[in-house]
Amino acid sequence: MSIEPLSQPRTHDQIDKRVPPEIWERIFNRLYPSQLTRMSMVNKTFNKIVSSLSVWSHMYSVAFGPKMPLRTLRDRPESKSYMLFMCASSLYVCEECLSRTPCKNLYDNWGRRVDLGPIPALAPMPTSSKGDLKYLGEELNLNWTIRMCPSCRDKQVQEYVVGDDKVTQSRIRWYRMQE
Amino acid sequence: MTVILVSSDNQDFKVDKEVAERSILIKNMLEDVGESDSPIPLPNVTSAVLTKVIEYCEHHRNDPVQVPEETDDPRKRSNDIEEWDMKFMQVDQEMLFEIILAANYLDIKPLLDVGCKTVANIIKGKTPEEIRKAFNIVNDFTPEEEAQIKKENEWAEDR
Repeated sequence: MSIEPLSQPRTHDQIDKRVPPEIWERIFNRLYPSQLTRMSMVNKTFNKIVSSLSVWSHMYSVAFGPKMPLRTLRDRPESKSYMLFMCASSLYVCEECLSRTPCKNLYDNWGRRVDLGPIPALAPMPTSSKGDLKYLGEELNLNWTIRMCPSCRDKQVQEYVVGDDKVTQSRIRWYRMQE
Repeated sequence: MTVILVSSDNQDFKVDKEVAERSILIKNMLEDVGESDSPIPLPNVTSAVLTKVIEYCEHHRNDPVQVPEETDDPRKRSNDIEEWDMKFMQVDQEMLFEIILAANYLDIKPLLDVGCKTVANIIKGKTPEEIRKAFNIVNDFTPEEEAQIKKENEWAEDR
């Protein structure tokens, strides 16, 4: 007795379409914003899913406060407006804590220039505490950087157990030299 | 007490009730039918995938059932995976996604979580082109669309 398997033949498998959007959302909610925007450039399916994530309006409210309204674009999903706004502000947003440094040209109510403070800088991203991050023997990319504010970078060095591989170690040394 | 699970390719799997009930779907089914030893058909799960899923449930049979709620907060996005789970997930990509789909269907949140973390770890640090290569995805943008998206969705990075 033989029964046909339910799944489609593998040659026609398109993983982006076969895996339902709600699962991709779960996966994408584990990524930093810079990686999400790269995801949105992969193809139309992913672009649509990334644009629809509720995480963008969440980021917006953390970075700019819940009371600051955003005028949303007319013929696009609301989340897309938040996403575009976050992308445009990305130079000033810490990807770890989502706090925002005031923009260079920001003035207070009395027309005085607002003190800038250090803007977020690129830092090596925290890696797995297990040391090496591998999938099927393939070394996963440890060279990524995310933009972090000074206090998050400090925390990263002090608290995170960073991978003990050479790449990460040299990155940490590099980043300490920037202090 | 044991229950019999039947995979899509008609294979029987005899497992402890406690193990099978890691799946909320099966747990609810068992509660609905009450005391009964009729086999439970799982038409969406092949025997290869079910074998893996049962292996996971056996290992985690004594874990507390409660799982923290998913939030929007990306700061809770730790992608650390415990060592046994990481080894368990060392399967080819086809199987990795099959496990995720099965965990979703069977409603086994911790397994779904481990699967999603694994995929997130594979994605991290990859460029759009590297992601297409890793998951065998075709770029269906026109050059104009691609240029537009690159301009709009650019995250400030030194590249």
